Amino acid sequence: MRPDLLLRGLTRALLTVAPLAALVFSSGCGGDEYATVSAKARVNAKSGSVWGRDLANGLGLQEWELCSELGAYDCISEAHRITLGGVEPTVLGIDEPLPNASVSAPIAVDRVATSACGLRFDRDKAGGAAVIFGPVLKKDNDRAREDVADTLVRRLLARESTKAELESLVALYDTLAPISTDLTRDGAVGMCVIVATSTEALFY
Amino acid sequence: MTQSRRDMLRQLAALAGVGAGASLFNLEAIGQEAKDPRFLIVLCASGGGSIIDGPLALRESESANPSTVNCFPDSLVTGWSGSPFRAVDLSSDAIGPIPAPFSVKPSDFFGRRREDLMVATLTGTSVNHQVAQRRSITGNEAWRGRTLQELVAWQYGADAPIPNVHLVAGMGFNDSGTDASVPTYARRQIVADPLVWPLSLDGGRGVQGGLSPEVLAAVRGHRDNQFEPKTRFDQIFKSSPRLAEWKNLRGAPQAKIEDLDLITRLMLAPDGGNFPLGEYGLGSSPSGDAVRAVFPDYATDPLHAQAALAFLLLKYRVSVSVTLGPNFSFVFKEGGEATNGLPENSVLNPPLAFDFSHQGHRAGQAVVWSRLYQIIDGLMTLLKAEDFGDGTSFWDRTMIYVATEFGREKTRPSGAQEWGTGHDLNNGVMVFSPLVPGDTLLGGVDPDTGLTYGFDPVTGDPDPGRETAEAEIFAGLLGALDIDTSGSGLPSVPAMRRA
Repeated sequence: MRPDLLLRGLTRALLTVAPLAALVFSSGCGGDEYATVSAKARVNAKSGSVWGRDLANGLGLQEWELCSELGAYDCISEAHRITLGGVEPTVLGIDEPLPNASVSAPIAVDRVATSACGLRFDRDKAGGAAVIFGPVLKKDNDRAREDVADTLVRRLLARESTKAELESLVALYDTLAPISTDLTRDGAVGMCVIVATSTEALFY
Repeated sequence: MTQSRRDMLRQLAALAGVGAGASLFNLEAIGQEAKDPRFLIVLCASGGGSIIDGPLALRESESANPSTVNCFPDSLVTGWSGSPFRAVDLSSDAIGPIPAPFSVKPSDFFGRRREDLMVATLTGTSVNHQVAQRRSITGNEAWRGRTLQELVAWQYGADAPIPNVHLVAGMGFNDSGTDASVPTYARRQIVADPLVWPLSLDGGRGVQGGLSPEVLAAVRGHRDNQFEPKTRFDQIFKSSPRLAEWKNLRGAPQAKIEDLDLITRLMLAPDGGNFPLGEYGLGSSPSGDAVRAVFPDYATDPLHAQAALAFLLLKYRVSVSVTLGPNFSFVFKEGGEATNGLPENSVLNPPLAFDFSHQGHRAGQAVVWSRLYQIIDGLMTLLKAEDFGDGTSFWDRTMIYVATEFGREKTRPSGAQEWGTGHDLNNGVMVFSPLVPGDTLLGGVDPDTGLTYGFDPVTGDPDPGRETAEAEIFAGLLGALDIDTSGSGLPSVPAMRRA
């Protein structure tokens, strides 16, 4: 076949398929029904320092403020450094991140996120310009909760939220209602922990 | 293995699909049932612990070449009637070029502990540190590249929360095996800092401004079951083995760790000072006083901290295999009066541990061996005192394998009392355990050359024409630990098993 005819044929085929592909992949807000499955599923874990930086940026905190064990050991750079995939070649001789997740890594992640989200809530409550939790602190209703949920997804996952995600996050309040003594705080901090420790926040 | 674990793994295998994830949860591989457990402690003689500077020391009067072979003045060597072992009590005003006086007295240790000591000679296949270390735990890849620690964890650790813990890192002793069929739970878990690591064993306790346990549990459940499945990320990458592994850890292993209150039980530090545990609603281990009494330098000496945590990991049935040892960092004990150079016995670990022998063989070996003897002695004390619950002690089912990496050159400049040595394939290993023949030497040493020779693997009779291979030591250790090696093709070494 002549090269020019082959090229023309391929161009026509692409023009035919392109709109359909655009429809399938342009999910955007509310487009979760078009989610596809990655055949290769190549996913890597963020190191603790990268995740911590993302978390600090998202919550408007300094990295060293995120979490401190016993008020003395920075969670990311000291206490859980190796557990969260960091390295320490000088003293410990660990010059490569652990190849597999440490058994206590998900627990350490929960500790860091709970501490950081709790601090963000308490600061927002203390006054000044609230960074995330202002709406529920002003009036704790479904609308305010959804606003906070939306802010959390935008700030911690750096993307638009979907309707299903927002509904899921707000539904946390129903789950917590029977067991919480401070639903406003527990619900808000809980939504924050959920987003901050989701696989999307921890892997790339 | 419990039914719940099988079910969980089956579900995860289904979740992971038939792609790469399947290798993480190979159900075919998980065939061995947990039996009456045995415990393995791998104590790493990092840098090359020379067996003829330890229990197989030579007297000058025994050798035809006393001035050039690494042997000791007879007056320094202590022996015991009927025992093949010796101890060299040594003191000096320096460790090679380091002006640090030291005095060691291993005769006390061997006098107390030799009844549970077996030494087996060995000729390795590498004098590269990393390679030789790895071969110390795989028998030179004798059984599909599985490590001793993995095999013990596999057979005895199915119900333990963290069966295979490594308290020292960055060495070949800490390598993972290369057999992908070894179940995930039996793979090594690195614990970098024994003092603060327990703080990562509970998601909520001690977190300032945290959530109550009930609320945290609900939040976790909501995340795992409600929010995450709705994210595109989770949907698109749901077949990722890494995500499957992460979700697995969030499940049964996490619950098991938190339910056992390991944040308390494994906390070495007492309340107060740098560890204001009480202020954060936490507490020290119920066994804290006992382990701190035996390993008092836990706060400043990493090896003491490792050993203290090793005992707690076994006592609370968290692990069945624990690996520990000095790394290559310099460890100095502050305090003490210095009269000439540094205070006496202030250098706990010379740089490079046993490999300091390049600069000062005799002193380096003496100081680091003494350091390891202290750790063994402490662990034996604690384990012997700990009731297993059936009238036996933990020690009755424990093996301390002193993995020596490789030996050192056997010769010295004529008459030298201090010199430097290179690496040598020829050496031996120490095993402290009631599971091996006690006060027993398998093989021997040629006093004229300082070289060790082998033994008959079945009878244990010394055989000067034979060398012991790494695979034989590996197989012998597994046999003593009653590990099922059927189908492995490993040699049979019944001589290493107590009758």
